[in-house]
Amino acid sequence: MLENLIQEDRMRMDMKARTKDEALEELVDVLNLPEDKKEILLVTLRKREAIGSTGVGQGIAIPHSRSLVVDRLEVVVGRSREGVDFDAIDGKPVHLFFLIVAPPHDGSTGYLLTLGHIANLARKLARRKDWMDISEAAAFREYLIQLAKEEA
Amino acid sequence: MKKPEVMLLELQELEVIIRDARSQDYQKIFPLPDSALKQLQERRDALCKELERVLGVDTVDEFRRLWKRYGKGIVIPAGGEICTNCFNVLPTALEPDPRTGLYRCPSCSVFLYMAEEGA
Ligand SMILES: [Zn+2]
Repeated sequence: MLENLIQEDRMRMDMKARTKDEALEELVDVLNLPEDKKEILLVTLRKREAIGSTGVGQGIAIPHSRSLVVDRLEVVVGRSREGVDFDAIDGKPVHLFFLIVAPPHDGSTGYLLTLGHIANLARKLARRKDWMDISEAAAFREYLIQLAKEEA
Repeated sequence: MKKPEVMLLELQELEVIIRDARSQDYQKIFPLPDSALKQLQERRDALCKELERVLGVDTVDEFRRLWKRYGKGIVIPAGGEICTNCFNVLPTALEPDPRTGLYRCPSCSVFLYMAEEGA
């Protein structure tokens, strides 16, 4: 499942962002949307964050939303060495982001299933710290795919 | 001021977030307090009020009717030759509604959102 969802060209291993807004923008930039669509998606993602941070703790955040500006399910992986203040539930800076965006008409199978998979993966990642040592996107992708397959 | 079709699009995005936030499958992954849902609904209602002022009550009612009926994209990009809601071919020379300036699909009435050039 994760093999198809996480692609190397949708990964940023060294994010520059330091604030929540900057981080959302840097992640959305990876999707190469036209300016007006990018703005609409950012508004939607900020609205979602406003009702409760998607920073799930232990340095991981899963910003997500359905949005008409994408025509298929998109996953962007971003990692920050410095960490981003993301109002995470445990107050810790976020070092690893999974941005998930899906069109509104995408049935429950795609979007919610993906959210569930990534949330599971985040729980496994929360127990380890070795993912900060990987520098190449390809190796990081492989690491995530293998970890997802491991028994919880 | 924002273009009306952009506001309609935002309204749709809010409806989608609200629908997900209400679903049990979503709550299992990201539990949200009732206050969060209430906050979203208030924001939706405020946007509806603003749209009623800009576009008229009829148009907002139309939005509600279409959303109830289709429950998916009812404000859709008009980039292609086909309406992505009903899959009918869109006429090449589409006329906007003279009152609101909004474009609609002649077959299923969904709102068409004009994407920027080069999109
Ligand atoms: Zn149509």
